[in-house]
Amino acid sequence: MIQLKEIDKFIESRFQRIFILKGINLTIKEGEFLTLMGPSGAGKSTLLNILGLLDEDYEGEYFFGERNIRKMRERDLSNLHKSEFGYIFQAYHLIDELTVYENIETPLLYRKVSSNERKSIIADLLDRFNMVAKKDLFPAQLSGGQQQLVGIARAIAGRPRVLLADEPTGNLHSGQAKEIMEIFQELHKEGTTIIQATHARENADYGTRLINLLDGRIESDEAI
Amino acid sequence: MLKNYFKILWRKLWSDKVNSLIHIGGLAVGISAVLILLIYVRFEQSFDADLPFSEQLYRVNLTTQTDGDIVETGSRTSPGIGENILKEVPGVEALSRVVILGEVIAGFQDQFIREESIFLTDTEYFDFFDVKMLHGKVASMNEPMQVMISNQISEKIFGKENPVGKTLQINSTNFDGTVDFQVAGVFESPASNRHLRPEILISYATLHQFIGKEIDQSYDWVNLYTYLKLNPEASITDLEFAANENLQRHYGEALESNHSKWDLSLQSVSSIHTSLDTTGEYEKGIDGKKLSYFLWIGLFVLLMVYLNSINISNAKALNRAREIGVRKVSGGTKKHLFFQFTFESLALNLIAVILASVLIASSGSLLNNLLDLGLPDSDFQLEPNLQYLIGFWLIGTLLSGIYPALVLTSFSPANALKGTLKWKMKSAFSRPLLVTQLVFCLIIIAGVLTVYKQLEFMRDQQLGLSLEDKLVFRSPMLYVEGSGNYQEQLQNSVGSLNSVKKLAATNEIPGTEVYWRSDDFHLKGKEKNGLMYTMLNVGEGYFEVFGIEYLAGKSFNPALENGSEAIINRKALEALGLENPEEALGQTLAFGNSGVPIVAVVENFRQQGVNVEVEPLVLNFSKQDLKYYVVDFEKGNAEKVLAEIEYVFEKQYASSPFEYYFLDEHFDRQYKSEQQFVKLFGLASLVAVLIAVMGILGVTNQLVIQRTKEISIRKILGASPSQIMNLISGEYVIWLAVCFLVGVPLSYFLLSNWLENFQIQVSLGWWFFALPAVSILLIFVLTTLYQTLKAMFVNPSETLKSE
Repeated sequence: MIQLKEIDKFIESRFQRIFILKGINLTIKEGEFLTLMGPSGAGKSTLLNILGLLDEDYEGEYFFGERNIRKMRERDLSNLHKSEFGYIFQAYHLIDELTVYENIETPLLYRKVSSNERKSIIADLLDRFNMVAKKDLFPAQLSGGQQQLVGIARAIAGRPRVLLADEPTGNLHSGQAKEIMEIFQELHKEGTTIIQATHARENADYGTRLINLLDGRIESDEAI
Repeated sequence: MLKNYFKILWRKLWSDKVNSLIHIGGLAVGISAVLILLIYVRFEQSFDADLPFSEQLYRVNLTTQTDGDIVETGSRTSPGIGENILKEVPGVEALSRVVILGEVIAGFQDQFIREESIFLTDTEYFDFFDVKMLHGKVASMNEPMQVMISNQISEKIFGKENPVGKTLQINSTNFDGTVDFQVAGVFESPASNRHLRPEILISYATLHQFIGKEIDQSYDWVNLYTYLKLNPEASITDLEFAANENLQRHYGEALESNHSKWDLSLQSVSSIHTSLDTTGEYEKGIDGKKLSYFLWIGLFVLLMVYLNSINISNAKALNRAREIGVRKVSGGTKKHLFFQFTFESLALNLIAVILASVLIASSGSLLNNLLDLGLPDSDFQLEPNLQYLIGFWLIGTLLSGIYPALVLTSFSPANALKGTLKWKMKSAFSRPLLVTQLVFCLIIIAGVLTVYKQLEFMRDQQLGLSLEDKLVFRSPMLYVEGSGNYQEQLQNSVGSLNSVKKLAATNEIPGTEVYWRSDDFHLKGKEKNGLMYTMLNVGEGYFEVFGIEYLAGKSFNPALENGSEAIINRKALEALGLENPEEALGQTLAFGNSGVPIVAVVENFRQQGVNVEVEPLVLNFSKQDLKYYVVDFEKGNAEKVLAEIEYVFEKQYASSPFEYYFLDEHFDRQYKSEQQFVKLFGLASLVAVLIAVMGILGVTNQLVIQRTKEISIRKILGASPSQIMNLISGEYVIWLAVCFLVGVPLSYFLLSNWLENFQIQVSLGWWFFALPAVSILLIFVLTTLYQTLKAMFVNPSETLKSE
């Protein structure tokens, strides 16, 4: 599904290039639950951003299915981005001025989903995460775990095939973290490809594959 | 989607009420202030500009010149000038002549009113000035003794009846009594933007009945306005040339023998109101240059408002980097986001503009009265101002919305979400913005101060006569109540009251132009030199009531007949070619075929405000009825005096209305346009300062927040509060220094330029440089005080925790 060839990412400084990623070759199949691990500065987030089309400033080839990302037009890229990817963040990144319902609705609005369809999709999601009663609350009125649930609901509202999560449990205590990871596992069973970056080894156990990064290189790549 | 944008905007506004109020309120108040200035300027410029033939209408002005010196350019001409131009100069399509009659008392049976706006004119006037007839026919104005009245006058005198064919009695000094006219028609009261706003019009043919038909060929009766309707293709320069040639042909010889030169010029009717260059106007116009000052002030205020708005928008936008990131990640494109920000700016500015229009519509007429602007109330409605409002809306959106929209949408989502975004433009932008605002503020404060000082200076000028504690009341209706000796009657009744120190009659009171002018005066045995003299009839005690100083001689001998002695002022003494006041005594002042001895010379005194030059003046003694009575009373006694006089007057002259005013107030009315200027300027500056304060607050707040981390770390490292204060205020000192360096010379330049408009000018002393600077300093310190204190006593453990 996803194939990276010789991905380099570097910063030009005065005397030398400082590599953040160096020579990354990676193939991800549809339906995998991949975990990226490694110490701070190893390049986990950077790799995740590149995979999620949030960062276009790198060298190397990136194939999504048959298509070469580097050679796609802006509009196609934007469509691909909308239709295939969902994002989850450590700091949740909900829009403070919107309610739970409206936050989940935002990506659907950008995808021009009809009003009725939006209602049913959001109703399903709220139901699934047991948040029907909280749909009119604002993010500030929710606990961290609940906010992250909204974040996940928002990320999967557009039915993406690939879910990218950057330290999704980093701001949560262990109980909440477990809940989030179980949801990931469920989504994985339903066929969603999930790529997560994390510090916590126990989170990797929910996945199918573990990649360790060190200083911008793939240190190890193992199935779980 | 729009609903979503709207919700975001609405909730953002509510969640930050104070800032929203500052932002929208500032915009609304600023726009309102500028709108008032615009409405005022538009009104003043609209005078006679909307007439059907406005572009073809010209007035003939007359410049009189003696031995090479331009004496003055007057708006009044003689009947022969227009008569012969119409007949003999090609390119002139029609002629209208207007004679000012002066105040009259008009009425029928027992309904009498006093009216000032009364003129004699011909049928062409109705065409020229688009007078709308309600009853009667314009053509009847070709007959003598016909009168047209406005619907307002008609209602006051005749009630709801149609007055056509009825008799209207008009009482005037010019008729030597009361004359019966026939009402020929009713016209609609003229719009307030006409330079003449007649309420009563008497047929021009009446003049023939009174003075004779030969008046139409007269050249020395310089007493009426001549309006010409020109052929649209006619060249003004050619016409002026032809008109002067025509004048020379008919009157050149007579002028030659008087040693004077006349020069005719054409002034477009629509420019009369905005010009102060001519004397003899019925109503003093306004300085056209002043209007451009108002536009400049408006631009200033608008700039400050928008600078503020840009500042606040930018600061707010910066706090939304994360939202932008989320939206981009959720699939929002640049276009989506650009649209969202533009939409927000449009909505915000729309709210401000709507608020401003509500503000203007609801409090416009109040301000109108408060500032004495004299605008029609309909000018404050939405409709005539719609174009301005739409303009403000779009300009505001463009300035405050597009820039953040462009910058913010270009962020890469990965960076925006990380929160590491440093918007370098922001701080590079807000500081010059703030300094610009401070400079504007300084200029405006200096401006208000200077305008105020100038006005005070003008008031404090030596007038040569005392205006305080003087009550003026109008003469009883002339020639009605056994007239001819009101002076004597009133001296006996009012003059003998204990509270009245002195009473004197006069035909014109200080503060009003004396219209009776002639160049006919000269010393017996000498030639006329063409200089204009004004003439004034006064009663016994005139000089004593006003405290006018005698240079030589003494007052009139009351035992003599009317007009058998003359008193002149110093200016007249010089005009007659004399130097020593004593020399003039006993000389005969010739006028026409007669001559009277000069019995005294008095010091110059100002009949009009200090902006009008003192003219040569000849005072005649009159025992007969004059128009005004001036009472000198004990200070602080005003109310008692007024009550007593009113009681006596009403008992004595039951059918005449008692009308009075205090002389100093009347005199001050001449400075109306200056006072208006001060008031409007004051309003604008108040708004400007308010907005500047908001701007300072906004920018310094942002800076302090940005530096909170730095300040906290410094405190942990041992900096004392006073060191922190130095740190923060160091930057402020630089801003203020730049503000003074730029602002003081700039305001000096602008205001000395403005002062050039005045005959006498206040000098720009230490106050000009010190007071605005101190005010700015105070405003600045007070505004930033709270934030500075907060920064000084910040608790580092709390601020660093959130990092």
